[in-house]
Parts: sequence; C-alpha cells; structure tokens
Amino acid sequence: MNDKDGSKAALVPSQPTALSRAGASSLANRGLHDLVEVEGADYWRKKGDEFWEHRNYAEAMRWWRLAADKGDAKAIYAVGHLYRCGHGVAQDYAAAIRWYHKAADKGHALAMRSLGFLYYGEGVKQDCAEAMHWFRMAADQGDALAMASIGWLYARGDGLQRDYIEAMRWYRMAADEGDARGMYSIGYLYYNGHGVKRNNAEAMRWYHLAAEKADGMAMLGIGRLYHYGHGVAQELGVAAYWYDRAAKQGYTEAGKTLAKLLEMGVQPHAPEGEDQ
Amino acid sequence: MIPMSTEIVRRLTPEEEELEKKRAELVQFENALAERELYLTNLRAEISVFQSRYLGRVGVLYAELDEWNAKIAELKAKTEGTPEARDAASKARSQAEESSSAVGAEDITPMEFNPSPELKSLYREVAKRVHPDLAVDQADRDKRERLMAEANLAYQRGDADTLKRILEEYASSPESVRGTGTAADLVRVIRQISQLRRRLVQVEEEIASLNSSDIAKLKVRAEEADAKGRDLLAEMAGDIRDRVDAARRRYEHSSAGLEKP
Repeated sequence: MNDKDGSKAALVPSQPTALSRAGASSLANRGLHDLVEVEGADYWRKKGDEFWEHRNYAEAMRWWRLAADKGDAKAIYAVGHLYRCGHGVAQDYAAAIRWYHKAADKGHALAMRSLGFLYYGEGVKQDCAEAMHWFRMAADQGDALAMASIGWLYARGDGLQRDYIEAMRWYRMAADEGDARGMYSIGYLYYNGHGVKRNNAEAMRWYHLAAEKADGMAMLGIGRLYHYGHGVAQELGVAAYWYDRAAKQGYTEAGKTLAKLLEMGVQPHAPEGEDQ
Repeated sequence: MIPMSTEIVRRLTPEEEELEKKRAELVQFENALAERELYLTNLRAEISVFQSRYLGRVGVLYAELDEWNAKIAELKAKTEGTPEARDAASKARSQAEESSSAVGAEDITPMEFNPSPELKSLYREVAKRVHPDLAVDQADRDKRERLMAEANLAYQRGDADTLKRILEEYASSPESVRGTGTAADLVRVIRQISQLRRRLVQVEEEIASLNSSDIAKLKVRAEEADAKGRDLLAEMAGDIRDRVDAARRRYEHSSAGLEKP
C-alpha cells in the first residue's frame, strides 16, 4: 500500500458526494461557462436581438431591459428605439429621448444621432440647435449619417445661416465614410448648382455612387437626368428603368412619373452595359 | 537553606535535550497541521454541500437538456441514417447518461454544514493525536487511518460523541504509549516531524486545488450574488429551463413531422 495514497484515502472518505464524481465537475464547468453569459449583459442583449429579428418586440423589450439594467449601452439604445417606434410598448418619444440620453452618456454614437433626429422634430418640438449638437457629438465618433445630417442642416439653413460650402464639406466627409446619403446630397448640390458650379456629369456620378448603395433618392435623381436629358442624351426607357427602381424603394413620386412614361408606351430598359 | 540533592536534579544529556527540542517542534507541527486539516475538511464539506445544491437545482436541468438533445439527435439519426448523424446521436446519448448519473447519484451530504466551535475543537484534537502521519509503523498507520476516516464522517454529520470516543479509543490503545529510550524516541520524533511536514504541503496543495475548481468558483459567485440579494442558482436555473423548453419544442416539432408521412 502506497503511503501517500493511504493517508489521502483516510481523509477523503468523509466526502460521500465525492467532489471528483464523474460528470459532476463537468456540470460545474458548464455552469461556470454559462454563468459568464448569464451575467454578461451581452447575453441578455443578444437574446433581445434574436427576438427583434423575429419581430417579437415585447420579448425583445424584456431582454434588452435586463441588459440595459446592467448598463449595456447598446441595449439602452435599443430600449429607446422600441419606445421611438412604439414596438412592444406604446410609442413614447419622451421615453425614447430619456433612454437615448442614457446611451449617449455612455458614448453611444447611434443614440446621439437618434437624439439629433428626434430634436429635429420627430415626435417632439423641433429644436435645431439641440439637433445640431447631437449630430456633431455623433459625427465626432465617426458616425457618417450624422455628418450627412449636419450637411443637411447647413444646406437648409435650419437653425443657422444657410451655408452650402459648409454643407458640401460635411457631405463629403460622410461620403468618405461610405454614406449613401452624403453621396446623393453631393450630387444634389451639383445638380442644383448650390455652392458649386452646376455640373450634371458630377451629379450623375455621385447619384450612381449612392444608387449602388441602394439610395432611392439617387435612383430618382438618375431617372430625372435621363428623363430630361440633363448631362446625358435623353433616354426615356432608361429613365423609366430608374424610376422603377426608385419606386421599388418606396418613392411614390417616382412611381407616378413612371406610370406616366409607361402610359406613353415607354419600355423601361437598363442603360447599355448594365445588366437588367 | 536546604541543600539540593545532586541525585534528584539530574542534568539532561545532549540527546535528551535534543529530544525535548524536537518534541516541542513536533507539537508545533501537530497544531499547525490540525488547524489546516480542519480548514481543508471544512472547505471540502462546504463545497460538497454547495455542489449538492448546485446539482439539485441547476445540474438536473442540464441533465434534462441533455436528454432532449439526445432524443433530437437520435431522431435525426433515424430519419437521416448517415454515419455522422448516428455518431452525433451516440455522443449525445452518452453525454445525457453522464449528466444524468452525475445528478442522480445517491447523495447523503447534508444540505447545511455549520460545525459548532466545540465540534471544531474536537476535530482539531483528533487530527492532532490520531493523524496517520504520526504513525510509527504500518500497523499504527492502519489503525490511525481507520479512526481518522471515522472521525471525518462523524465531523461531517456533527457527531461530537463519536469524536470523543475516537479520542479515548486512541489514547488507550497500546500503540499510543511507546516508550523505547531516548535514542529511539529521537528517531521516531524526527520521522514524525518530516511526515507532518510533507502532509502539510499536501494539505496546502489540496486546498489550492479545491479553491481553483469550477464548483468552488461557482460557490464564490453565488455568495457574491447572495450578498447583493440575488439568487444566482435560480437565475442560472431559469436560463437553462428556457433552453430545456426550446429543446423540448424542437423535439416535438421534429417527432410530429415524422409521424405525418
């Protein structure tokens, strides 16, 4: 009999549960592993995300609230978003703003941008200065849509002196970040000659870049350029093709114009060199 | 003034002096070891109790989850019949069996473990006197091991009487009174010290390894949660229950699909 094992054996039999019992330690390991997830706000938030995907908003709210209570900025933002949309709860913009503020305090760029949209007049009284403040905060975090929105405020002169040069500068920053709205807006400034010399070719180029990113307004813009022969030879078929695409993005104006062209017997067709 | 008799005050020989020193050292080691043995035993008992609770509240749900997953995998193996599906099914089945046996084993650990100070001090005394590493020969060691195992069981069920009996039994056993002359005593004490020293290292290792086990970590987390008024095991159970429900629904869906050809 081995001495060492002998003395151990003398002390171990007091443990009838046998801590080393097969399976028990692997169950403990699983528990510990899952616990990290149970405790991590990430886990709750992802559960909320799953329900959101399946449009089960009440459940999404339930899990996001849990994650939000643990201080998870993404979940806090998401709860605000549900209030904003009225998904799973009664629509409540005041609550949305409260939640967005909490997430923004944690540096959540999307929450900052959303605050910008709400203060711009979505659901609450318009406050352009406040909207600008939040767009700038989000833009500082690299949020491209916030940059494009700042450009928009400058282009419209909302709450400040209209400034197309400044608008162009912000649109370009947004476009550099790959934002379709920024690209479209650059095209728009070129098309209208706002702050730049009117340039239909540049407008076409930027609209195409935005359209590649599924921007419906850009599609409508391209349709117009072909429709009226601005910067390109007039091609009603191609115009109809682009109006059709814009209409499919939900732009009813494009749909109406398309209907008129179709009445005239125009056959929509893709521009040469493009499929469909 | 009464003259001292030189016959009565016998000076200690160097060997005897050394023996006295070593005996004092041995006592220190006995005390230190008894303390750590007590700590280890308490720790193990507390973790055992927690493990029982964990297996009873959370482990059973894992076992249930594994059972549904095994059924799903077996159903899939039946319908698909591919070697991969059959392999997955047999793996899922053995996982389910492992989990089920882990939570189903007969468990006599009490759900609470709160030793009284008296019980602790009795155990400390037993560990000091009866510890197998004090053994002088194999027969002595066997006896000590038997008594120590008995003491451990008694301690865990809070049985002070048995601990007292063990102390008496060992004190009156012939092995415990072994006078053999200074030289032999010295050798024995030195050997005992080295045995205790080794065991002390072993105890520290066992404590460290227990503390680093997953179940001990879970226990710490549960205690932290408890301090904040949360029931961690309930939270964990709730989460796994959701997964069990999902697995059951999945199984019912697939088996319903199977019945309608």
